[in-house]
Amino acid sequence: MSITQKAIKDVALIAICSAILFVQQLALSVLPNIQFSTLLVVLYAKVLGFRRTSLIITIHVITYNVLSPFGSVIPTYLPFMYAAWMLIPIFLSTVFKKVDSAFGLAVIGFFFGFVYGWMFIPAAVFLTDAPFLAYLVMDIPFEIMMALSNFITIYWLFEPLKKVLSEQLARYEHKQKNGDSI
Amino acid sequence: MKPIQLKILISAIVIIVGVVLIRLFLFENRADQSGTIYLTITGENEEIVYEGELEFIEGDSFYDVLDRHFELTCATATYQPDEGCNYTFNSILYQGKVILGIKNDDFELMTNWSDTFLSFYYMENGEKKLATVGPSRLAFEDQDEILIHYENAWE
Repeated sequence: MSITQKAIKDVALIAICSAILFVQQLALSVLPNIQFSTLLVVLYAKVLGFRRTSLIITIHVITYNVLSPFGSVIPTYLPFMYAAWMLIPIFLSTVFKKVDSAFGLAVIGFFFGFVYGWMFIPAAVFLTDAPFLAYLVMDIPFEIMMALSNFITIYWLFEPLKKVLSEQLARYEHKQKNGDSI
Repeated sequence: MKPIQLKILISAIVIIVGVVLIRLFLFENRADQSGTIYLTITGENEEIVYEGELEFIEGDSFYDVLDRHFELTCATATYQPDEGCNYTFNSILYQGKVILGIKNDDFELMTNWSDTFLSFYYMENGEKKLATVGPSRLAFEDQDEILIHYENAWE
């Protein structure tokens, strides 16, 4: 299989994963901070690796802000949103590389619920002049909700999804080695 | 204990602790006695459109006090104007009324939520302190000073 063919298949894989991430976030956006986004980004980071996950996050952040029927995020928040999501593949490729259990990842997901909210504080406080303390306090219930959502979804769904995605990826990579088409 | 039972137990504990913590931040604030609050309402150019004392009775929320003294326009679930203020947000994190407009015989302020909105401040020794909750849950006591300000999201 040529490098071009491999690249095309990688692009297709990244596009499909981005689409799943985008659609579920849109479908669940009526529920405040209840989503599978963290689960999926953790899953992608663990199964697909840092490079593919970074591209998926890049596509997701752009498409969510361009296509969301609920309106785009304020442009000043965009880099912070991107940086917040990128924390997952960065940390899972470095300091938390050895964490593979669903419980361990669920705990990381729980704390990420708070960190994700805090990542927007600099934008809110320094760029839009929101008062720091009021913003921090108002965001806490939303952070708790995201933390709970992350913990439960990762704890229960990471293992079965990892199994399915790993099997599919193994078949895909095996066929790539043999030069077959998927 | 079987792994699945442990998993259910851990999940239940995490959910219960989370819900309790969220409830701590979303408690209702109703007056426990009668009294008066001093209210100031400022318009688009920070001009004072209303200043005065409002009486409240035991059991009132801040929204109840405003509803008794002014004509309010609330938001529907899609943030459209609801002049009857019939809709109340009742999801896990968004609970209570959203006020889009307020008027009496002398003034009228109307916002659209996307570009303009009403914000609530406590006035403490002449300093504005932004409230962290909406009118249905805003805590208040006798002789408190509260400011309602017309805000433009783009300024």
